[in-house]
Amino acid sequence: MRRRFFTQSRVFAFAVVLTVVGCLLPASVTHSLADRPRHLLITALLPLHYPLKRFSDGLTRPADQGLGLGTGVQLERNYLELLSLNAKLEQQLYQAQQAIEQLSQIRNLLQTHEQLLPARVTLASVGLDIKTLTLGRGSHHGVDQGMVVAAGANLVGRVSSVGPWTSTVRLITSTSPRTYLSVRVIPPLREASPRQWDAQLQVTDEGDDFVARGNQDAPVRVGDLAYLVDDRWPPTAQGLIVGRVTSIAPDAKTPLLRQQVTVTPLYALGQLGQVTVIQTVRSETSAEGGR
Amino acid sequence: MRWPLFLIVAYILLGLQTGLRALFSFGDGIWPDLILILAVFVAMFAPRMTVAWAFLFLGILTDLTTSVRAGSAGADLVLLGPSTLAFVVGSWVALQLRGVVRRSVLGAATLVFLVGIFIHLVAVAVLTMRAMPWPLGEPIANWSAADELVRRFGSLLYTTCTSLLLIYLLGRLQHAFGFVVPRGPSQVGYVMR
Repeated sequence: MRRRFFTQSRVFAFAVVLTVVGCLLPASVTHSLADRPRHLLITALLPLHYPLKRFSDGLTRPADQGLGLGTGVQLERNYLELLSLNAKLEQQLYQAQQAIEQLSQIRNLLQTHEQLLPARVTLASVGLDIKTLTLGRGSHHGVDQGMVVAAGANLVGRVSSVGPWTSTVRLITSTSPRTYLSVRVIPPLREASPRQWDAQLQVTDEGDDFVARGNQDAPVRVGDLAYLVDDRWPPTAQGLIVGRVTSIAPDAKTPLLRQQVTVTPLYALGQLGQVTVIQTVRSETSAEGGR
Repeated sequence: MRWPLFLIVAYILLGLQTGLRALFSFGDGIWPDLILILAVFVAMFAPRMTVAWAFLFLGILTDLTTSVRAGSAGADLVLLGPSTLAFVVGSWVALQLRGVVRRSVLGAATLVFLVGIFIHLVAVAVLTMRAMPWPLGEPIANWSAADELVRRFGSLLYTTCTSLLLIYLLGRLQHAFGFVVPRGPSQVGYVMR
């Protein structure tokens, strides 16, 4: 009797050998092999991710609008239905107004020829010290790796990987404590005596805020805004808001000489529903380039 | 085992795990691993090679939904191998232990915990080995094997508690999966090949 060469056990053993080899491959090689399947998997999970994210955000974020339905006994059924429909329309209008505001903010700020691509956030994930957003836009929509992502005039992060229909954005709060962002802190409103303070922000241990250390006489106050002035970021990111100064406290190590300034992003980056990808026009790619 | 149903359930659980991670996570990166629970459920009933292939597939899914920061540039990369190999080892452990634990919700939760220990140990070992000068010398940024083991142990405890409910729900589907459970007095050990 002829024996089959490709038995299940042998095929499985071969798969295990491939797995072991995959563990020993350089990161660039294994990433290039796995990136496309990963994005296909994320695309396949989109129908689940988006409603789950909305459900999750709805539970974790306090409601902005409260509907006073009154005592249910006295309301007619069609009045309740009209209220529900009204709430849905108001939410859609709010989202549309948010998108318009974001686009107009960026357009006023940049005043350049970059194309702005609104993108819906389908997943916010945290893992192994990396915070990312998954967008429902990919290479088919013109998204490319390294593009800057913003929410209005607020910096969100950069596109770290791109699939055909999805892309992953690495948040600015995902940087390790050893890296930093160079910012310029200036008052939100023009003052009689203009002041500015150049600082380097580092992510806190909690991962939601930034801290910077400066001298006691640094010209910074609570409420000032921190704008990105980091050469390692593309020109399209320069001038975007990183956050607002929320607290100033004496430095733990040298309280008499230095102070610790906390900068908090204006938005909860992990709970954004929509962002804008700033697409660099290829014919006008800067000669300096970014990173 | 009916593979189409298995794939559908894996899809749903993976979507729930990743989509609701922000809602159900504790502290810094502790969340339930629903894929591990599904793997152990399959291990309790399916034939040996079916268990092996199911674990391999679920390990690949876990790798594809996890990214690490590796290399000097600190880029976010997908590593296809650590969780896959860990799940393969986990399948062997599950096959050895399934005859020992009672086929019940508590037995399944125990098996989840025991198999999870081996899976996480292997995964952390493989990720830690990347920092060794040979053969790769590509450490993962901000990697601490001890911290990672503590985090994964917390996730494992969370997963074990979650498995009490999920195994009960999956148990309702065991006939739909095609798992034939012999009737009769409760048995100790495992008979199905």
